[in-house]
Amino acid sequence: MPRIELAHLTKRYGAVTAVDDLSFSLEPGSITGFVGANGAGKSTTLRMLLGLTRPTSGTATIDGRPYADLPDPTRAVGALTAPDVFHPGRTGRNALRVLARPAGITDRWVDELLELVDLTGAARRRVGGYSTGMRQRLGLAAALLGDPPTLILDEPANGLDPLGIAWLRRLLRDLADQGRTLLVSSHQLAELAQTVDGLILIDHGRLVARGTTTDLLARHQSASLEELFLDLVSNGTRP
Amino acid sequence: MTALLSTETVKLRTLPTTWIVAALAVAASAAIGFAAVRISIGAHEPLHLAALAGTPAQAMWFLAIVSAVLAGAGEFQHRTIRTTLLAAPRRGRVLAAKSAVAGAYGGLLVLLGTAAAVVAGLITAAASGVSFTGSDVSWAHLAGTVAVGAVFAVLATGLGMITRSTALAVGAVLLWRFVGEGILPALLHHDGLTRWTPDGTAGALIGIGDHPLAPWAAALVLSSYAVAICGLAAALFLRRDPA
Repeated sequence: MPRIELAHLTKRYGAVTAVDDLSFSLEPGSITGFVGANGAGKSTTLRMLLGLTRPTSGTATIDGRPYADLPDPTRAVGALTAPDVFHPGRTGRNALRVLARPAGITDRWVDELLELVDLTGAARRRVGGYSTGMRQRLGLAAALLGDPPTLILDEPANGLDPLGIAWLRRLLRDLADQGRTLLVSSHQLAELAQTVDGLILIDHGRLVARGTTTDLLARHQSASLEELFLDLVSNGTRP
Repeated sequence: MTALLSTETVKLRTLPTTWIVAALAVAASAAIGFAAVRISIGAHEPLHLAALAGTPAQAMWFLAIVSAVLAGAGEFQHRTIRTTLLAAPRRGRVLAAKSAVAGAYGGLLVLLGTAAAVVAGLITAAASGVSFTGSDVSWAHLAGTVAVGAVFAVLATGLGMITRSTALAVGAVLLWRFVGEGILPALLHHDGLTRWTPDGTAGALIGIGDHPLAPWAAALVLSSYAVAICGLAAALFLRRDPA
């Protein structure tokens, strides 16, 4: 069974179609880049997959079930949706403890994750005083709380400095090598090219291209991911 | 459900606002208790413990409402609703747990406030060399005061979830309390209507107001308001996606 499966997923906001009949599935143990221009429908797709946005039609499932029907979602899927989803008045440690509680995750594991994302020193500081990069690291720790086999990360490199990006690249690779399925949306194509195994490219909510990075570059005779992206999504016009 | 109740309790406990509001409740109630006793002594009126215990009720109810609005609307304002729903995707249960914990906290605030007012009043009277003529406490009224704080907090959580804005929700409460409750009976040419409003039913439960409803009827009507608001909040929460 595919870890992640989208079937004819569609979302309309009035006359605007944000996601248009999108279908794909992801097998375990790979990092897949989810690429598209601003407004292409990436975040809406990920939010539908995570049960945060209701689809107009179609289905989005993880391990064969919609997110809301997962018996223990924190242990099934880790998600990073945005860096500003933590209460500014809560400490970093408490922000994670709040999310750990429904899944019965211990404070000790929370502390280990804070160490993994290099936030131990700031664990007892309020999130309101964190930089964007620190909040992003906290978001990654939140995604890893349940040690889940599937990770859905929306723009995980946002706000990270070059050292942070290098750290993130190693982390994502380690997670994929452990057999996890990662779906990573990003605007940073050069960074993505070094990290992902496969690509899903969408434009105006529709699937434009899908395949391994090497195959796609060869098929479209592109020298880089950026060239491929510009070739397929030229000024917002679908080829 | 136990895990969700525990989660909402941790959320409340880990925010400085919770402790600030509790400290404010104690300080304000103590000041109210002190002032009430000083005013009674100055006016040569007899001091009654039951009356003293009821003095901070309105202020504590308001604090309970504000805290509950912060718990409900604050989730949307700080966008924590996303992580909340990722950890617990069943929205109805999230709302139920949030309302229950906000209600418990609201009741606790009222209890704390009442205790602070009584202690401050007793100390003030003793320091002034005056003793209380009535030392009976109406336990029914005390329970009513605490229960009203809890029900108002549940209602305010629902209001916060509906408006998704703390300013809008607190504004709506103030508008209703100071304008709606006053002008509605006049507009409808029905003075008896005040018995049925949230404030009127709350008054009936603590033994104040003209021709109040019977306590059981007041409790039923007040609870119905909370159920209606939370029902609407649940319907909207299930339909409207978080931003």
